[in-house]
Amino acid sequence: MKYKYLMGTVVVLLCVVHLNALDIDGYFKSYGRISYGSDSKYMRIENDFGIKIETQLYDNVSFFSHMDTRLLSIPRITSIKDMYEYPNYFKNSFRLKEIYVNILKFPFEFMDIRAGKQRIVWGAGDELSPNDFVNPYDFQDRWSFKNRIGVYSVKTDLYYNNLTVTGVLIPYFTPDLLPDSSNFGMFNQSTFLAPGITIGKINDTIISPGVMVKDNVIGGGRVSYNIFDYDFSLYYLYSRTYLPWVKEIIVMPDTVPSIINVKSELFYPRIHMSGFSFSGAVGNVGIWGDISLFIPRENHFLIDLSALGMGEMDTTNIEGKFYLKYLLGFDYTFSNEFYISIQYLHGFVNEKSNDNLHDYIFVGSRYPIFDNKIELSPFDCGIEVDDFSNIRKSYGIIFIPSLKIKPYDNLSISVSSLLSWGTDKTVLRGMKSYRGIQLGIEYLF
Amino acid sequence: MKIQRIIIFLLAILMFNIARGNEGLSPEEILRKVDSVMNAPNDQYMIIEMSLIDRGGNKTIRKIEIYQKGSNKRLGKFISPAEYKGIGFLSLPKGVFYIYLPAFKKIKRISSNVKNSKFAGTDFTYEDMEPKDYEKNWQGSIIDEDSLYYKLKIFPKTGIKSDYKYIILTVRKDIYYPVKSEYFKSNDNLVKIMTADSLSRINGYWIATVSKMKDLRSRHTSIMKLKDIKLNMGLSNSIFTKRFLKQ
Repeated sequence: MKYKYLMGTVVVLLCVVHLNALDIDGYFKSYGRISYGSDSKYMRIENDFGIKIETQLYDNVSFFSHMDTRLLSIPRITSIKDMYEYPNYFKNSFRLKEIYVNILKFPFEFMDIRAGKQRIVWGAGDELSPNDFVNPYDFQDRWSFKNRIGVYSVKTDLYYNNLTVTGVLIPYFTPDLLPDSSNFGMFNQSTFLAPGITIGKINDTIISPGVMVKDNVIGGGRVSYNIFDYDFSLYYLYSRTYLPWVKEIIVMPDTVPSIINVKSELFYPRIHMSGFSFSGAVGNVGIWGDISLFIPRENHFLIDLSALGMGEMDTTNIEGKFYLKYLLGFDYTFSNEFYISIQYLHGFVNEKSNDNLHDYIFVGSRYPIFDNKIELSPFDCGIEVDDFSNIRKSYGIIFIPSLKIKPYDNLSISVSSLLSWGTDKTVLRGMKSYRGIQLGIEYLF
Repeated sequence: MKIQRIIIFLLAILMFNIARGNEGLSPEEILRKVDSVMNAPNDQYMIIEMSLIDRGGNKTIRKIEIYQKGSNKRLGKFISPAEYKGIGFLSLPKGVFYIYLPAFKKIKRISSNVKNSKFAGTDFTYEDMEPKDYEKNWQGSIIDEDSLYYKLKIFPKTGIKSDYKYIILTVRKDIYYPVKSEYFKSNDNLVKIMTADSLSRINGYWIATVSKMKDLRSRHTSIMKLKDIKLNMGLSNSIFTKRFLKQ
């Protein structure tokens, strides 16, 4: 934490040095959520204050930083003594989302370099692209799948007519960030277990990659080309899974009969990720797609039941067995400016192996009315199906219709309904059956 | 006296010929001349300040930096307000259109009908903001004419997608600049009127430095002022690329 504050200070100092050429933007966002359903109870108030600073250091060299402070208001008061402690009311986080130097036309006219903590967007999908596998996810807000963690990296882009070749080198491994303690259930510990295993208590240990370069380094590239008015891209990344996989489970009997204790060891296995994406239009319909191939290089998954007198099992090892995820999306804007996008996704971010990939449909909508002073999003939802032959017992739904009022430029006030329901063992249902409402205010400057 | 009569006679012939020359122009020739006037500079740079005035008289302002080359390449980047800042658009030949969304760090290819939606809440559509190439994309007829103006009714040519069924274009005869455009949708509904309120001659080129677009349905008006106009700067083709769009 001290390190992050230090970095923030360095950013501010750098900017002060170049005060006369600063370009400063920022935002204040405040969102409050509260349940109205009795099936699950959940309250969260989040305030984000962010600053984006850009400055031109030289003709072709610029500096950019994006930092924000998040204040979560989650009162956890169970006794009088809790009322004396600030952390029982509020939780602060300083986040340095991006900080990088952008060098254009260096060392050649056709080459750009960007170095630092950055977001590298790959894939053609909206918010959910199987090919967008460079940055780990930030799932702190469980209702949003668009947040990513910036990675310290060097990115080079080479341009030649319609061809762009990108190289990426990430020296430090960063895993996904899971929903914070105010959330629940989207990724619980059993998420990382193989299907069919039900356990009571888990004592888990995650083995991190270590501190050596060879253990951390992630690298890859992209080749993009535009032809026949379509954009095509090929991707490759030698990486690690950003969510941990189980390496070993040791099942032990408890002192109480009928209860077993489970000790699990998890790790981030090496994996080859590659993909292909396209985007363009057919008539007036926008169309895009991703297909991604994942080949795990290590996954010695062992279930040790010897304490129960049943030996060891390694039947769920998927090392070297590839699996595919894909996405197909469409969007259309009607003459009254009503916009709708539909994306079909096979395989969510946490899912692995061909037998374990669910199907999803995500709908986005936007309808500006009254001179853009009001924006409706009536159909925003996600539908998940695990088994099409038994939809009733294997579905999950989230439904987030919203109304945004924009009385003035840069200011918006929104109200959304947050609904989720479905059957167990689905990601969207994993967010628990929920009926809630969200109120938000955003001001940009 | 005799010399005076000869001069008057010659002047009369000259005036007659000038008038006859204009009258003889076909709609295609007028549109070609309009194109040649509007796209006369090889390239252009300008800051557009767009004032939006709603039916209650409330005013908001958008600022956009525009680069244009020829009649079919245009790149724009929003300077303000904050909610639009950094959003860029790139218009290329054959109707290819990209938008850069800085919040997502993503360039998105836009299908052609999106060009008919409002440009950042203004009364201009993306189509209205595109460089014009009337002769190539439109055809029509002269429906009225006086000593100062041509009035043309023009329709999109076959295969050209436009949000408008037709446009009535009022063109100044002396400089071939369209000073009024009336936009009609289906059922002959007049939906918008654009007027060139202030024409200036900059470096020998006619430019509408102030234009007004009035949406008759919403009673909303957008006034577009062009500032910091720079012409024939020798803009490189590298500006009109996705690489520059996301910078």
